[in-house]
Amino acid sequence: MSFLTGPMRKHLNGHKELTNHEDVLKVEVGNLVKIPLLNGNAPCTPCVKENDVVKVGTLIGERNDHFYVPLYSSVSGKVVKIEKLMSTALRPVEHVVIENDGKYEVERPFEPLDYESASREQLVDFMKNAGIVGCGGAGFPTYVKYLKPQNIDLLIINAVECEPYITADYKLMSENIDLLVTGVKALFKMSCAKECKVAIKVTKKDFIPVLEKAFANAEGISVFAVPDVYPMGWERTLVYEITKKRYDKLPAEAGCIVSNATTAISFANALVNGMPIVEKMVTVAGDGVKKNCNVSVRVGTSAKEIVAALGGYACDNVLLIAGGPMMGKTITTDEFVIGTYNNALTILKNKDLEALKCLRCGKCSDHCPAGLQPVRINNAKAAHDLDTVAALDAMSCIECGMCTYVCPSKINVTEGIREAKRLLALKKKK
Amino acid sequence: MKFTFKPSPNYRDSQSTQSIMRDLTIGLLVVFAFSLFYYVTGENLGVNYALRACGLLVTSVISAVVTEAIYFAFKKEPIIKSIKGSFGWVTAIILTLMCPINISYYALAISTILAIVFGKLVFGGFGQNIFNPAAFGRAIIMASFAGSVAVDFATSATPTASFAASGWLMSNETFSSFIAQFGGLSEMFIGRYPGAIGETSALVILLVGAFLVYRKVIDWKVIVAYLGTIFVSTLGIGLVNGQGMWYPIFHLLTGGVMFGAVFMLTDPVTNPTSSAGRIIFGIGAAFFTVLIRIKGNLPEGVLYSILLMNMLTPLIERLTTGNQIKIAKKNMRNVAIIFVACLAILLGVSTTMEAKEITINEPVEEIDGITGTAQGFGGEVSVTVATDENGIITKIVAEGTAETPNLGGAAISTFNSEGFAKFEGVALAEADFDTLDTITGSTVTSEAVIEALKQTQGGQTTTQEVTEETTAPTTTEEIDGIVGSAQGFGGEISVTVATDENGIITKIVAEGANETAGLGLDAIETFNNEGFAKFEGVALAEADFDTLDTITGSTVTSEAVIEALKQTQGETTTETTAPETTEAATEENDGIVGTAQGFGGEITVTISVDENGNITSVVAEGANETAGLGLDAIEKFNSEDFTEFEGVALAEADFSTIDTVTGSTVTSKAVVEAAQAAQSAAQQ
Repeated sequence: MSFLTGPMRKHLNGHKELTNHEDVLKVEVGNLVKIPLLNGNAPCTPCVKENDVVKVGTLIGERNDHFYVPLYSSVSGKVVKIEKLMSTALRPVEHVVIENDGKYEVERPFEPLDYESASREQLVDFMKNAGIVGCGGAGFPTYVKYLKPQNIDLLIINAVECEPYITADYKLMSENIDLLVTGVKALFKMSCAKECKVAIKVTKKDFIPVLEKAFANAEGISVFAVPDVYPMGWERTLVYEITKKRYDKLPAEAGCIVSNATTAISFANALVNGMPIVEKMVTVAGDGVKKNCNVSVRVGTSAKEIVAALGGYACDNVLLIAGGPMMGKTITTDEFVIGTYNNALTILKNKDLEALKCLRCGKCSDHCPAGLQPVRINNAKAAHDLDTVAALDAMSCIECGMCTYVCPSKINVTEGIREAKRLLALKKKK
Repeated sequence: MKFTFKPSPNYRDSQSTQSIMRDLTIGLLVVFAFSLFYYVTGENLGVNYALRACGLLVTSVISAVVTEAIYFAFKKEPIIKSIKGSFGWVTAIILTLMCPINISYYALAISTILAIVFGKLVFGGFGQNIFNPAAFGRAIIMASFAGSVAVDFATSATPTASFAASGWLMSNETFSSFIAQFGGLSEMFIGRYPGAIGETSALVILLVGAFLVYRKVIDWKVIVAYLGTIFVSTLGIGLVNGQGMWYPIFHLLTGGVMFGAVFMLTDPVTNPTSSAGRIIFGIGAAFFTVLIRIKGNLPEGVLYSILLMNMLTPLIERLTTGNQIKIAKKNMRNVAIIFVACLAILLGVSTTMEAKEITINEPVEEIDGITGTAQGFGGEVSVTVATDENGIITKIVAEGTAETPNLGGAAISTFNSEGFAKFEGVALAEADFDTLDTITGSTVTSEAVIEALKQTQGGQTTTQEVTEETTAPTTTEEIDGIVGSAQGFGGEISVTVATDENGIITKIVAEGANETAGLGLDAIETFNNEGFAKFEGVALAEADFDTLDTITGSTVTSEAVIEALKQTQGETTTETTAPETTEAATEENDGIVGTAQGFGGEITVTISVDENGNITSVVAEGANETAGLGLDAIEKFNSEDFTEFEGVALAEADFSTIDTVTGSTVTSKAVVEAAQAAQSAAQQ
């Protein structure tokens, strides 16, 4: 049916070679560590106060709305204050500021668990307490997906990493292959699925055999090679690629659960070592930073510290992006810190692009992975025709950035859709 | 250190609108380069054709760019930058490639300017226009400058125009000789045949198209939907009408189909933006292309199909509104419905198609022989008869380049291929060319051919009697005297001999307007200027007219003149005046008769008057007029128009007030002329 919808995806130059073969650099965190009280877009409440002494693994905050997500300290030391600082959510949020004593004393918040002997419910509880969040970028609490799996046929482990520049998942997987296997097996058990597929780009030719070998003895788990296109790592695209099924809201409708490979590793780390997410693998890449490589940092390390460890910026005017260049947000300060679900800093030279008039080429419509017609949404928005904006299903936009990427006239299409969505949301409120 | 904020994504494809237009320009220039190659190497063409093509291209591009420069200057926008972002030259190149090589420079320049201004700029410039500006410009040329061509650049008939004249149907045998004119389907694929500057080479256009698709400059779906629908529908039409497998292939190769598919329909600005929409767009364009071809008045449908679909683009967009994944089934259904409906309509319409006879301009065989000429419908028709040493006809070839291609021209082809065959082997002197089967609908040409054939016999000193008449106006000195007449080659020849009171010849004037120009007429002129002089001063009664030197090659005329001269000796008492006009009016038993040349032959009008000179009846007759046209007109005159003259004095009747009948102008005029001839005859 793709001839009626367009390809809905596109191969991008991933620039993966910049960091693929570089060794991982360990960047030490500074004296003052700021840990954002943030999960996804939701704020968390602090569980510590000034002058409290914390260790690595001490609970310092909780998300307590309809989901529960605990936040743990990544260093040992004394809480200095709780302060509103700029965050990767593009707005100031509360951070727990800890004076790092440099000792990294550990206080295990939970004991390791043998996933083979534990029950499914025990594992879900364990996952919830360990604060395991989706590491694809959004930080969605993982346990929610596994609460009541019904009619699940397939567990998909997403190791696609389709954002350009980012190789953190790949690096983490290649360094922690045993944890990956453990984590995937545990998730597989929790999902009650009949089958598990580890999806990885077909272009990772050297790594696919490694994975296949690692999962050779795991019954029901196989490696599934997917094309090197964007946004292959998006749930809907990935589920469709593997099952040829579309779904309305959740992958469960198509009998699937999708979890990130890094999530599986984090989970395994909790199961085996009794450690929550206190360290992150972060790709730092782009022509705006002197050295490109993956860094291993504690949660709470600021972008400034990481860039300084890599030789500094390559020019005076950069786009500092938390995440990859497609979906990551530019942040106007490098004081923000790495949270539990950040995996990349993309630093690009700021080049001015001049937009031409839209030539109605329809490339945005052809490539929209959600099947939208961005050009028409923007035109309707410009004409203040919100009914048409709604009819064009603008709310299904995931802001993957494809429309802006493909636009030959260099129009900020995605930003237009965001505005259209905001206008729709405003209208709904009224 | 500056951290700039920009909304995501901050990653861009390397392809830009500028690179798209650059690739497109390169592609178009490759097509143009092929045309130059064709002009330089082609038969009957040459470097001057290639230079003209370059001149046209430059003219159009300059017109486009200057127009935009003035527009942007007027709007106080940065001129160079705006021109670079407006891509007017692409429109200019496409427009030039769609034009014939002989289009005049000024027509191209004006249509380019109009295309840029009214096709693009008034809508808001690049990206905002409703119509494909190049198609818009081409339509202006078709509507306003079709005749504005450089005459010294001959263009032969294009396959499309010729095939269109056949009603887009042809028997398989005719097609093979038809397509042979252009070197066969393979040569049409390569593109070395007459046509618009850049539209002929399917091969080059497809290669460039493949390059552009590969470079993601154009969308293959439009091309495939368009060409696919044309192929399927014309295949069906061909099957319905008994055409061969060549039929859909010819449809694809001829005219602007390939060029339109690759360079015009894919124009993103005037296209729907969704994939489903573009497929519908391609199907619809194919529908209109084929429909206009098989049923329209235009030879080619590509141009207007593009403009029509441009207008439908907003509707198609509306049809595909929604999440393309969620409405995929609906889109699929709509595409299927539209495709099937278009196909059904085309097949249904095609059942009423009618094949028309067309000329196939096969090279005329040149033979040595006796040539005769006569006036055809559009100009001179010449016939060459080759004979062997015994005067036996070996071959007859007629030629009439000025004849209407599908009527007279077709008739001549038929004569050459079939009609003349029966005279081969017959002695020229004995051949009865009146037995040549005339072609219905091409009476004038047919008769001209017969006349020309008979002329070749006259050149052979034949005595065969000829009754055909032609109209060759001559002016002869009018004198009073004794008139004698005799039957010449083409009609009556009259000779007037003037004498003084003593019966001494003072002057002799011969007249025979119906004699063949170049032969009989020349002879008469020679007699008037020289031959008769020796009789002046001789007593009429004693003149020996047999001593008149006959003119070789015009024996019949010469002898008729001598006969007429002798008559004057026998009738010395008769004094008449020479007839004034060649359209002889004779009074018959029941009325005055006037004649004139109609479409198919002579038309006579008989006017009856009563003793007071009042008209009692006017009756026109013209059995040779075309049934349904001329004949109907005559009937209408008899039953309506002429009845108004009854009771009117003949001398006062004004026949020029008769309304001519549309479609039968020649017949109508002839009837009026004949009536006036009768009127003037009666007045004498």
